[in-house]
Amino acid sequence: MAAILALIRKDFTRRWRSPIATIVLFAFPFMMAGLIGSMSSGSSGGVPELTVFVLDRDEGLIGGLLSQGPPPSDDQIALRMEAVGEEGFARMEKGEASVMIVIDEGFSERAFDGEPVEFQLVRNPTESIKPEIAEQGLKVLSTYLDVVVKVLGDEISEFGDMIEADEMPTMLAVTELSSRVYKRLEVAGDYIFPPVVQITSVKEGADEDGEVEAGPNVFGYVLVMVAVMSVLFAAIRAISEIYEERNTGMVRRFLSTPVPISRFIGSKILFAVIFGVVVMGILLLSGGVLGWLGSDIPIFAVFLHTAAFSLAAAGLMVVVIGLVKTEKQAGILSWIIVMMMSVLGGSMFPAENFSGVMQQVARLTLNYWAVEGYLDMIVRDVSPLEVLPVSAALAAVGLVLSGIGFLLMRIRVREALA
Amino acid sequence: MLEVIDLSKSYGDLRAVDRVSFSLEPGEIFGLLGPNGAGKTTTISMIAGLLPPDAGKVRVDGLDLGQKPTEVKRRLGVVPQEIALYEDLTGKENLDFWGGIYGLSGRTLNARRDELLELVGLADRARDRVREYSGGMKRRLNLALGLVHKPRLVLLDEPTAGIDPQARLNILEVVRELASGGTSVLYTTHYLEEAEALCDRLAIMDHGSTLAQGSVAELKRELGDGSVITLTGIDRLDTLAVIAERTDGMSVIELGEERVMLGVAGGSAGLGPALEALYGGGLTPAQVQIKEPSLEDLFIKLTGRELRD
Repeated sequence: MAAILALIRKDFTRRWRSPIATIVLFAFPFMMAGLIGSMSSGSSGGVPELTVFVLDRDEGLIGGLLSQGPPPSDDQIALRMEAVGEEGFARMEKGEASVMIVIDEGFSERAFDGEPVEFQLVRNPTESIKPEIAEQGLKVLSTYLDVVVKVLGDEISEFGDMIEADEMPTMLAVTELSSRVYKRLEVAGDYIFPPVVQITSVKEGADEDGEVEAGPNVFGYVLVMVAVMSVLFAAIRAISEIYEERNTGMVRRFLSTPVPISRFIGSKILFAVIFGVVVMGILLLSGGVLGWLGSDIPIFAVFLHTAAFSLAAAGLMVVVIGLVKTEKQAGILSWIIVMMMSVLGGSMFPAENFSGVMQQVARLTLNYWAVEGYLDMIVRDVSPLEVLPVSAALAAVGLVLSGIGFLLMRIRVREALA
Repeated sequence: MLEVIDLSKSYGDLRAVDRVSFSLEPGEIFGLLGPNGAGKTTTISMIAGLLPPDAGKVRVDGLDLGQKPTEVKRRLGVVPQEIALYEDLTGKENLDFWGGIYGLSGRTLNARRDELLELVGLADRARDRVREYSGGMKRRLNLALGLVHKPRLVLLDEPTAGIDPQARLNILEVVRELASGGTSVLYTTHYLEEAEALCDRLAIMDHGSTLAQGSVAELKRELGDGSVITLTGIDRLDTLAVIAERTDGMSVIELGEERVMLGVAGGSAGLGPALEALYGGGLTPAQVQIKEPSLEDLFIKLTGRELRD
C-alpha cells in the first residue's frame, strides 16, 4: 500500500510540476462550452428550429403578439410559434414541441394597467437542451414585450381600441397617437422601469406552484458533455505514462525493487481514476461557480458516477494502450478512439438530437452513458437512485477492461526488458 | 554474499551470456570488465531479476533468486546504466519516491535521503529539478537512488559512462566508501584504469563468456611477472614467432603487422636476454617500447583485440 501511495503521490507531483497538459484538460471544456453555447444561444445558421406552443387563454393583444414569435433577426434563435388549445400539453408530451407558453386570462389587461404579469413556460421533460435554448430565446422575446408594454402600453391599448371600433379613426386622432409614440420612444432610454412581463419556467409535472430552482443553462449542458471528454483525455495521459516511464528506464528500475509490477500498473489505473474524479469535480464546481449549472446537484451520486466513469475510461485506455507497442501508436490510437466516442456518444452534439440508428450507436460508447448520467442528475432532476445502475454498469465495464488491460500491459512491460 | 553459477542467456542464436560464474564476499568490489556487447549488462539484469536466465543460478545471502525473488531484491540495490530519473521532480523528491517504494517513511526516510545527498555531493541542489542538473549530477543522483534502502549488494552498471573526471572521482569515492562499510559491489565497466584502480577482483568478459578472473595482480601474472615489449616495424613475423617460442620466459601477446607485443617474465632481469634474442635473430624493429603489463595487455592477449574495439 505504501508503494502505491508513493506512486500516486509521485504522479500527482509530476502533474503539478508540468501543468500545461492539465490546464488544457480544464480549459478545453470551458472553451467548447463557450463556443457551442454561444452558437446555440444566437447565431446565423446551424441552429435547429424549435417548436414553441402558445396556449393563449387571454386572447388579448399581447398574447397575439407573442404568438407571432420574436422579431425576425439573424441574431435570434429560430423559434416556430404555434397557437394551440388545451390539447397542447398532450401534444408536447408526444415530442411535438420543446416548450409551451401559457398565457392566462386577463394577461393583456393587467399588463396595460401596469401590473406585473407572468406567462408560464412549460418545458418538455423528455428534452434537455432544446427547452433550454427555447427559454433563452423567449427571455429575449419577453424583454422585447416588456419594453413595448412599459413604453407604449397606453398607446397600444388606444391603438387596439381604434382597430376594434366600428368607425374609422379621425386623422387628428391618428396623428396625435403617432406623435405620442414618437416622443415616448425618444425619451424611453432615460427611464428605468421595473419589469412588467416576465417568464416563469416550469417543467410539466412540476410542483403545483410551478416554481423551479435555477437550473443549468446551455453552457452548463455543453460543459457536462465536454467534461466527459476531459476525463477520457486525463485517462489517456495517466495510462500512456507507462510507456514514457518504460522509455526513460523508470520501469526497469522499478522492476528491480521488491514491489511487483502489478502494483505499478495498478497504481496507474488508480491514479487515472482519482485524476478523472478531480478533473470532473473541478469542472463541475467551476461550472457551478459560473452559474452554468444548478445549485441542487446530488454531489455524492455525481461523485460515484464520476468514479465509475473514470474507472471505465482508465480501463478502456489501458486496453487500448496495451494493444500497441509504442508510445506514439498509443497516443494516436487512444486519441482517435476518444474523438470517435465523443462524436458518436454525445460529447460534441446532444445525443437526443441523433436519429434512431445513431442513438443506438451512441449507446455503445462510454461517453453516452456518462453524459446521460450527468444530465439525468444535474439537468433532468432524475433521482440519483435511477442513475445508480448506469454508474454500476460503468464501474463493471471499467473493472473488466482494467483486468484485460492489466494483462496486456504486463506483457508490454516484459517485452521492453527482453 | 553473491554466488553466480553457470548463468546463461540466449536471444535466438545469439549466446548473450554463456555459463558465467563468479562470487562476491561482503565488502568486496568485483568488476566485470569487457567491451560493449560482452554480456555485462545482461549478466547484471539476470542478477537483478529483470531477466530470467535460461540456465544457472543466482544466490544472494544464500537465497535463491528464482525461489525467493522478493527477499533477494530487498537486499539488492541496482544502479542502471541509463540515467533513470524523474526529471520534472527535484533530487529530494526522487529520493523520497524511491524510498517510499522500499517502504521508508518519516524520519527514517528523511535521514537516509539527507545522508545520501551529502554522500553524492548534491545536498545544496536537492530542491532543484533534475532537469536542471548537469550530466555528472544526474549520474550521482542515479547512484544515490540505488542506495536509498541500504542494500547489502549493489549492482552498478557502467556508473561513470559519459561523465566528467570530477564526477567520476566522486562516484568512485562513494563506491569505495560503500565497500568499506561492508556493502558488496558488482561493478561493470569498459574503462580498464577504473577497474584496475577500484576492483578487488574482476572478471574479463567477451562474447558472453568470462575469459579470466581474479585480482588485478593475479590477472597480470597471466602475462608473466615481468614486462611487456612492444615492437613496431617488424617485417619477419615468422622469425619472431620462432624466437619467442625458443626463448625462456617470452610469450606472444599480440602478433600483427603493425605491432608486436611480447610478454617477458623475470622482471627487468629478463629483459636483457629477451632483447638479445630478438636482435640476435636478425630482427631490426623501428621502435621498441618496454612497460609494466596492464589489464589492456591481458585483454589483448585473451581476445586478440583492444578493449576499445
